[in-house]
Amino acid sequence: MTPLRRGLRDNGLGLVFGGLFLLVLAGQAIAGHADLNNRQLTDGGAELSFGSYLLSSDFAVDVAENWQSEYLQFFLFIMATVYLMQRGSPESKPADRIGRETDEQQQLGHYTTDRSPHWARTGGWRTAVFSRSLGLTMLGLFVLSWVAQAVAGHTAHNTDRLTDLQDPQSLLSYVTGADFWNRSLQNWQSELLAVGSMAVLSVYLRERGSPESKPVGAPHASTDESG
Amino acid sequence: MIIRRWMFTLYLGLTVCVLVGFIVLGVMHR
Repeated sequence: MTPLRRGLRDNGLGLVFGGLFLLVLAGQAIAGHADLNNRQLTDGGAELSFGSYLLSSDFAVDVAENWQSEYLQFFLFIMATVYLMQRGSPESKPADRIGRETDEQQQLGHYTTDRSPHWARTGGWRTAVFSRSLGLTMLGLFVLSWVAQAVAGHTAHNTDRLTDLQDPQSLLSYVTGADFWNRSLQNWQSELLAVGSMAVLSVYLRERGSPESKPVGAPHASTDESG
Repeated sequence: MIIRRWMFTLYLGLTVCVLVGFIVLGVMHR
């Protein structure tokens, strides 16, 4: 196998999902632009160029409201699976490992090796931060996306209000109002259902070869196995 | 190894840049 082929195989998940993401985002931009211009025609407003649409608050709020819910989903799932379990689910750990686990289980302190990441070996604040870096990053991206949704949604909402000859709203009244919470909650409910479904359905269902599933022949009650 | 590092930087870097861009544009358009 050539180094390039091996590199592509070793990174298939990241490359395929990243590529599909860009394609689908482009599709969203095209459909969103057409949809906005259809509404502009009905409302008697001026049509927007594709470039202006990409820089508009309408596009930003549609992208950001979906991103925030995905990052919230991963943050909650990462943190909840530290302290909560689901017997029989491959996403869960067994009862005796609930919590932050021992240094031995986490390969920390005396149990680090030469191949452990630098910040895992140093101890002190670096190891403390590195030990929480995945959750903190997801939380940070959630907060950033939610702020982007608020700021862009506020601008887009006020543009609509001006078209309807209504007074613009302040940012505070927007983030405590119906549009912001309707957009936020409709995304959150779907993520929570999806995560719950994954945890519960994977107890009794299998996907041969997927690390998200238990091995096909594993008992329903067995936890912390993947196949 | 090189692809892995690049992807990490791209996933995190582009996401943050796009979000900061949205916020800046949103504030500018107000």
